[in-house]
Amino acid sequence: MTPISAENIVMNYGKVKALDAVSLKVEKGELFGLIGPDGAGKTSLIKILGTLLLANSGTAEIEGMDVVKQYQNIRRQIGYMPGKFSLYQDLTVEENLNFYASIFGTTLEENYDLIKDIYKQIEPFKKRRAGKLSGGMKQKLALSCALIHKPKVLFLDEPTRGVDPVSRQDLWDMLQSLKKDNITILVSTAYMEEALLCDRISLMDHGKILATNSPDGLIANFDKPLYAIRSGNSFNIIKKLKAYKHANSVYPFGDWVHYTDKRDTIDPLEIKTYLENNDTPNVEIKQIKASVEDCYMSLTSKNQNYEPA
Amino acid sequence: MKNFKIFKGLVRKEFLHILRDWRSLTMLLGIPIVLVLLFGSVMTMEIKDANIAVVDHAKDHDSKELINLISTSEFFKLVKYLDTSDEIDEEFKKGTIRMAFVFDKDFGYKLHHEGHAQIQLIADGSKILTSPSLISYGKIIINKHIASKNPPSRAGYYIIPTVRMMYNKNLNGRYMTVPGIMSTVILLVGALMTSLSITKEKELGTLELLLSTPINRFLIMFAKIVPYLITSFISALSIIWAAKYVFEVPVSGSMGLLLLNTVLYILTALALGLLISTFANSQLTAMMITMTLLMLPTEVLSGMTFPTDSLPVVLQWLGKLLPSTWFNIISKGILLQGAKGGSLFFETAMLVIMVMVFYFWSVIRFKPRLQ
Repeated sequence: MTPISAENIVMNYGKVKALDAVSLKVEKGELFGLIGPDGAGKTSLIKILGTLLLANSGTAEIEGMDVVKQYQNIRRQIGYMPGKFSLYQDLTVEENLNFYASIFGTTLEENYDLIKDIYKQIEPFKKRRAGKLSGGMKQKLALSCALIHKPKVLFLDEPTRGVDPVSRQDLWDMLQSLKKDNITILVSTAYMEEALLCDRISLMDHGKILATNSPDGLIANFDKPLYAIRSGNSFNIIKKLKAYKHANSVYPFGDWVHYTDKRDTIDPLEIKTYLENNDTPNVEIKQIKASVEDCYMSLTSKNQNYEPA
Repeated sequence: MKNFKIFKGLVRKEFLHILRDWRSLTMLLGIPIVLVLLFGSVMTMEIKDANIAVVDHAKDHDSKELINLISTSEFFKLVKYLDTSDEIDEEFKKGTIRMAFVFDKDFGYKLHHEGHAQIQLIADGSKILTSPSLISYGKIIINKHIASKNPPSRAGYYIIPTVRMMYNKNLNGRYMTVPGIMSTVILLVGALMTSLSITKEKELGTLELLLSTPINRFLIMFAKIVPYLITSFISALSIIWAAKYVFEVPVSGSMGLLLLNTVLYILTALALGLLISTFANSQLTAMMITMTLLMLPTEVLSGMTFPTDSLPVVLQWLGKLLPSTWFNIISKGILLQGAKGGSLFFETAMLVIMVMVFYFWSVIRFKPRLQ
């Protein structure tokens, strides 16, 4: 039985297409990432799969149960962590956990083992009100609450948004460790580098899934040689490169500009010379391995509906 | 059994919310009694020691006797003798008097020789609620005086009506207003509490997480009622206490019956709040709906301050849709008329029906998903 499957999900908010015929399959025990910027449709997809929203069309099943007809049964099997902190801020850490345990007819003690790795980090603060916790601790509490009833499938909507880098790493470590309990996890994030921490990912943009693969597989599919170029003036480089007749893609990447050529094989020296002849001195150029973000940029430029903001 | 455990968890959570938020708790317990004390003392139409002035053009024995009678009555207090009628206008404008008695020249002479004399009673027509009563109290005193001077003759017929106001002998206004305010306050505060509690969860997003769990919506709604039933009952007790001991409204009927009906009425208010919350997505909207829906209509249509008989039929029917209309009849019946449960069966049944309708309607309207 597939833990998560979706077929042709369409979701409209008025005229805006939030999801445009999205299909997805997540295997048992997988840590699956939905990667994409804000407005890509990640949250809508998670809410539809989590039985919280009704799609305009398409079907989806969680553990073989239909998200529309059998939502009550699905809700016993899933854990959900919304993008916005949604626990009771006026209740303490312990009271929140006990409350969510009681809703599922269980107790904190009964399922302590499942959450102890996470919970023990916030246990010293169990008498503190949830509203007074730091961002990272709030996420740990929210994750504990989502896990308290031993869900088979866990949905996390941007769990690392607005969280400090150390807590982000902590959170991903926890998600990795949940795999040993055979929990299927669907997590969304706008941080491209976090894609590498997933087993498989779907890249999303403007309501479409552009590609689904393992991070390595995705990178291996990047078919053109990729060059990182820099000089003192990156704005000028971008302008000049975009004007270059063989240019395929040009986009800034930190201090560097990433470049692919229309031709299959090129000599980097040729580009260096072109730039230096066009008032861009001190050009540094090197061939690099593509990152997930490079794949994303290349895929979005192919996405027909893509309209730059 | 499992549902009961879940329910216990939900109720516990609601209690924690109430106890943690001491501001709301103070409001919930304090505001109703403050409102009742405030409105109870202000909203009164009874007349006692109204300031009056006298213009006595006669200055004879008969006029003095009558003036003496008027100023020693419990209704009036003579504060000024004026020389001319022209000064009355000024005194009204200054607000020193509420009524003036003007005795005709040769008052006593005319009375004894012509058989009739004139007294002019002048009141402020812009004070529409109290002036008619002032005038009629004045008339009563004058008529009594004349009657005592004039033993009924055997020649003509005399009918002397004796008036008795049942249940409220002295036409004490508080007997009417206090139960009325009580019903308005309980309804408003009760409906606000549940509607705000649910819309707050919508605003904070906690409801979203709650929806992702398998809790039955009957339970979510029911758990919102229980803690507020207890707090509202405590504040209702304080209101009843104030009615009995501060405003000295008699409890002619059974106190137990009154409390039982109060619980029923609180339930109606809380269920109505639940229903309102299904129409509102924010606390502000919920508050606006509750206020517009309940505040003015309750005051105007429920018979709390104005008699409903004189309203257009449509408005009378609208009034019947308000829970406070029925509770007004019940509470006044028990407090003032000493009514027994049986005679209030219809009104009580109306409240029971309203609780059911409001509760189930709100459960049906409460969507298991996000909108």
